[in-house]
Amino acid sequence: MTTEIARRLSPEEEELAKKRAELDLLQGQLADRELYLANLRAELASFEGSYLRQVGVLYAELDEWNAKLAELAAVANGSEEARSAATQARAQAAESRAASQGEVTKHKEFIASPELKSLYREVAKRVHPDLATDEEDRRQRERLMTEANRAYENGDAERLKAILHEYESSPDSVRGTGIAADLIRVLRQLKQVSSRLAQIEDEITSVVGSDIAKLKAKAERAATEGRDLLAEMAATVQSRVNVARRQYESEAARKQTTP
Amino acid sequence: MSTDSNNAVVRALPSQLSPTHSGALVRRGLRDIEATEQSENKSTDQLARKSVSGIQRKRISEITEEEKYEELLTSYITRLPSFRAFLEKEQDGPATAYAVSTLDWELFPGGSQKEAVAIAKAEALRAAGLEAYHDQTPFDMFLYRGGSQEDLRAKLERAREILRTRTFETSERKTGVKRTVTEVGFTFGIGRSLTEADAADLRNQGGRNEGRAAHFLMLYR
Repeated sequence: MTTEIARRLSPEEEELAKKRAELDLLQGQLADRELYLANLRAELASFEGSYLRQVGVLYAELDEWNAKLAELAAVANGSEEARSAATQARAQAAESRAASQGEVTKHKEFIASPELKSLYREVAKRVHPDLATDEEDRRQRERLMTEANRAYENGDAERLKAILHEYESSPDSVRGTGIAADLIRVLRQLKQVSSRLAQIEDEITSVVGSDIAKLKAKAERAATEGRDLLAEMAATVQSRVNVARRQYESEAARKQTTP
Repeated sequence: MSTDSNNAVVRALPSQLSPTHSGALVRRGLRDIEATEQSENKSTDQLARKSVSGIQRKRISEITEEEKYEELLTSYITRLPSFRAFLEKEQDGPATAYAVSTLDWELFPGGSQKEAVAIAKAEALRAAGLEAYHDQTPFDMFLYRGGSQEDLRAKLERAREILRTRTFETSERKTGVKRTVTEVGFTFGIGRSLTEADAADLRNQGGRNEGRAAHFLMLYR
């Protein structure tokens, strides 16, 4: 028969254990919601890239022909109103060209593997800035979390592993200065995590209500009917480009023949 | 800017980051697609009211003499004057110039969307100011009378431009796969008489549909 002497936990230790269990549960929820939000953003960014490559570029071409037409009209007409319209049309064309050639167009199709999702979830659970205990810790976590978001959007599992490794080998990841200090830290973490969870829900609502999300929803509905909405939109804008181009060519030719 | 908001910026969607750049292009696409949806709903509604099988069409026994006369002289698809109206007008005296045009149905296998395209073409013809008639014989042609061949040509080219901007939905009969068709065109021929205009249109089509010549010869001999 063996006798084990079990030390009775002090009320502070009991409270700390309870709060730690609570925090562990919330950390899991936080990681899940961060993963959901990251997926949503990555899928929309990828869709936005496709939209700009297929349709945005044609709007830019349409604006270019419209600017040329407005400039022809300004030369022929000479009025202040026509010149102002031409300046506006040219600015619109420059803006559309910049948007259709920007960084966003480089977003390719986003498909997250189960391994990538699991890694991201782990990083979010361990590294999340809202688990920070002081300003220095927060800065480090924010830097790593920002990198993790980028790595997730790029489907870079190796980078996610490296971020996790970097955090775990950092001395900041293991701290302890007595029960009282630990309890204060855990309580603060609980508050921060709860606040971030509420913030994530707001962000999800905002992202789901964005124009690009509405457009993506329409494209998905069209796909269920066997239609390719982006291709349809591209065909419509292309026909408008053709009309504007023909109109410009005919105006330009008429201007050349008119003395 | 706080570090929190910095993090949010890195994570924001590109279109949310820049309201004047990609966001503006996204909004424009969404606006256009919503406008198209609204217009399609409206056209479908109008088409339903005008449809051949539409329940609002009255029985012959229920319509007035005036309405019967109008039905006889109007195409039941496009509501343009019919071939019979064309013949009536001819009896008043010949025009200086004639034109014949036919739609390019190759884009619409199995004649899908035929009514919608014919209605769109009729709208384009009206907008271009043409005196147009819809001949709903098996050759499904549009006939025109005009003051001069030049005037007819200019107006038909204008109508062709208008029709090219329209978009139609069609689906493959076997697979059911839907496609969007744009740039729908039509050929036309112009001449001093209807037979001359028809021959010109046939030449523009590369000699297809030769049976049409016999159709006119039969009517005019």
